[in-house]
This record gives sequence, structure tokens and C-alpha cells, in this order.
Amino acid sequence: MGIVDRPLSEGGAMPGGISSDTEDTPLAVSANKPLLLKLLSDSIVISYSFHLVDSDGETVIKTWSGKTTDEDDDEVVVPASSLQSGRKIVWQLLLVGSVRGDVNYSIAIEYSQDGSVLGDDPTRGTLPKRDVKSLSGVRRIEVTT
Amino acid sequence: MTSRWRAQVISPALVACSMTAVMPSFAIDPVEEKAGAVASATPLRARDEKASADEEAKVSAEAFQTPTLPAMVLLNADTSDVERPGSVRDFGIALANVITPQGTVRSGIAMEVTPRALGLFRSTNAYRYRKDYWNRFVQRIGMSVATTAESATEATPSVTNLAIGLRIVVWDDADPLLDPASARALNVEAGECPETSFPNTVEGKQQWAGCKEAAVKEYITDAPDPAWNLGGLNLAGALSAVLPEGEADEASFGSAAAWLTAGLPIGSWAQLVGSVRFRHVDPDNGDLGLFARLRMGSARTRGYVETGLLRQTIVAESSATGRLKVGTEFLLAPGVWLSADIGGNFGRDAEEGNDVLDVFALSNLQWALEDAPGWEMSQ
Repeated sequence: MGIVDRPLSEGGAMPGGISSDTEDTPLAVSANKPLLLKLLSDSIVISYSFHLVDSDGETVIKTWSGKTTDEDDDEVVVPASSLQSGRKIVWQLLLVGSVRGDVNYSIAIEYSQDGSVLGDDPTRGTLPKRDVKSLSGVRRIEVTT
Repeated sequence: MTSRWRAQVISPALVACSMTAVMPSFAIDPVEEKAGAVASATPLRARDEKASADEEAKVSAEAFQTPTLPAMVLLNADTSDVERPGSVRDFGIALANVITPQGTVRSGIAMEVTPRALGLFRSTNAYRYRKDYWNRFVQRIGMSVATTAESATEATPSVTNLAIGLRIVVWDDADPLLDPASARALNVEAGECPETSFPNTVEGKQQWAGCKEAAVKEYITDAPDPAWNLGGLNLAGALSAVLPEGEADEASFGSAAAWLTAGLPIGSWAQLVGSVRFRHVDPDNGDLGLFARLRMGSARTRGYVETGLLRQTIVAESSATGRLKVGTEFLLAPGVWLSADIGGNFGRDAEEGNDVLDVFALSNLQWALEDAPGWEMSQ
């Protein structure tokens, strides 16, 4: 599913991008409608960031980031004008383990337009005691008329 | 997983210190058998052999505490490979796997389902979990499902045992997700890794993520240990059915059990823990287990006294088995605990027809090296 479950600092990310797997299953979005990115997380995720990457695969056009320890909803809106085929959504999460023991997690990034869910990137696993992990994934955008 | 290596003092001369006394209303039933224990004098040997033959009647903290997976415990099923669906889709797939193409219930199922897998509280987060008690309450609920098989005999067909259990955490000071250390870690990464310090490219964003991860890792590694005597209250129940040849429409009642465990901190120097377990195994077999433990000391050195009582509740002639133990634990080095304890049984030996009190027989002195301290609420 394009989820990188190794720490980025240990080479978990792939060169030139975060992960290439989900680029094989692009996100089919409708033109002229904003795209909602929603983090469906449990409390082990403490921060997140979404990046809109240009079709060159390198340039970051815009970044949205936030903390799950804030009261705000963990979601961002990508304007319809920014949605172009070939661009990518890259997401990054920071998970913080407990000083008391292992914690199971179950997380998903959900993509929707007009209230309709277009797809999601789910991941789950176990974070050992006192461990920290970065998770990331990528979705290529394909605009349909 | 806690690894343990135990040794026991064996001295025939000291076994004579075991005493037999007249104690009305108690009868000795099988009790906990320590690995490596060696039978010594004849009356003790008889009891020890009987004890090892019936694991069901253990009188210990581990036997009576609220289990994480009550369905598996009720059926005495393997818990080494438990399926934990993370989404409604995964849960549907797992559920479909319970039923065979022939419409019977498959054996060998071990599954734990949380509200998130049922689509509830999917979009909760750290803020709401920490601030809202009912959010935590629902998220902590765990439902377990287990099936085991019993082979056919000449007289009976094969049966599949199906158990469903529910575990509820009412209060848990040891909840790892409430620990303030992880919340404070967020400010560490924000301060040490400002986004503008990294190139506005995918590679730069990767470096940013790596910086945050390293900063938080350093913080969390150095975070202090939580208090050793935290409190909590949790309960669980499980119910099983017997399905002849796996046929659900011919199901009949199998067994039931309920557990309740509570821990209460006393200042920073002590903790009182109590557990209750009730089991209805079959029409002729049921019991009530009680356990209490008082621990006193510090994070590195503790002493404790504990007692347990197992009372048969269904048989015509009710009987009870008691166990009393005192012990101590020392943290020798990180991850290395030295423990020593002495204890034994009290009650009536049904086979010998006499009352027994061998609690402080020196032959029962044991010591162990372990990688974790004794039973705690968070387990």
C-alpha cells in the first residue's frame, strides 16, 4: 500500500519519493472539486503533514502540517485548482511510543470529495515501548472530468 | 514476554517444618505447582502430584487477574497468534473465515476486535483520547473470539467450542497513551526541527521527518519511568457454547467466567491489588477465586504479602484451597530482577483427610531471576 514502516532516518523512504507502490493505484479525483485529506488516527500519532508534490516528483508545492494533540480536526483541504494529473499527495506521520509498554496502532489516511470516500491508505502495527516511528505514503493524482 | 528462571531450596530436614494442623472447613485441592519443584515427604508428594495434574485450580495472581483475552482463557486456547483486524473490511474478512464452506464453525480461531475495527471512533486522536473519559472507555473495550476442537470418541462426536469474551477497562492509571511524556515530546520536535530549515523538496521533507523522529526518540529514551504502584480497575466476562461437529444450530451452553481486578496506590510506597474470578465450567464444576496482594517499597526494591482462596461453589460438598506467600523483589540492573519468596498452602487435604498448613515450610523458599517485576496492573 505504499506505507513505509521503517524509520525514515534508517532508509525507510525510497529515493525520489516516499514510496512508489500506491502510484500504481492513483487517486481518481473529479475536476473542480476540492479534495479532503483526513487522518483517521489513534492517539499514538502526535503529528502529521501532507505535501502536494508537483509532477516532477521533487518540488513541494504546498505543505499542511498539524498536531493531533490540538483540538482541531486532523484534516486538510486541497483546493480544486491545485489538483492536476501527475501531481502527488505525500503524507507523513510521527508516532510516539509509550514509556510504559508496547502499543498497537491502526491508522488510515482517507481521501474524499463532496463527502464521498475515494480511497484510503490504512496501516497498522505495534510500536514497542519507548520507540518512535515515522510513517509515510504517497498517492498520485489522476483528474477525471 | 517475561522470561523466568526459578530455583527452589530442597532440604528433607527442613520439610519436617511443614506442619499438619486441625483447621475446620477447608479442604486441600490442587494448587499452584512451581516449575522445578521436587516432591519431598510423602504427604507433600501426594499433594504436589495432584496439584500438577489439575492446572485449573491454581491459586495465584496470574490465575485470578482479569485477562486481556477472556475468550481464549475460558477455553484454555493458544494466544500466541491472535488476529486483530484494524478496519471494518479486515473484520469482515476475519468473520467470513470463522464459517467453513459447509456452514459450520471453524476451529482454531483466535481474534480480538476493538471498536475501531467496527468503525467506531475511527477519527479520534490524541487530544480527544486524553480529554474525554468516554472516548477512552469505548476505545479500551476489547472483544475476543476463540474456537477450539475436541476430537470424536467412540461415544461422542467431535465438537467445536466457541467462546466470546468482553474486557472493559474502567480506570487505568497505567494507560500508556495517557502518559504526559509523549505529549511533551511534540514540543521537542517542533523546537529542534523548524520546517523552514529544510529544502522545499520531497527529499527535504524526508530530512525534516527524520529530524523530528530523532529529536523525539532522544527525548522519549530519556523520559523517566512511570510510578511502580499505579492503580486501575478492569473487568471481563466470557461465555462459551458447545457445537457438535461445528453446527451452530445445535449449540448448547458450555461454560462461563467473570473476572474483576482492582489496584489502589497507597502514597508512593505501597499498592493494594485484589482480584475476583468466578467460573461455571459445567453443571458439576464451578469455583470462586479471591486474591489480594499488598506490595510495599520503591521502584527498585519491594516486599509483598499475598493470599489467594479458591472455593468450589457447585459441588455438593464445597471445598476451598488457600495459599499464602511473602516475597521480595530487587532490581539488580535494567531488565534484571531478583526475586525470592516463601509460601504454601492451607486448607484440608481431601485425599489424606486431614488439615494442612505448610505455608512457611522452608522447602518452599524459591528465588528467581526475571526480566520484569511481578504482576502489575498494566499487564
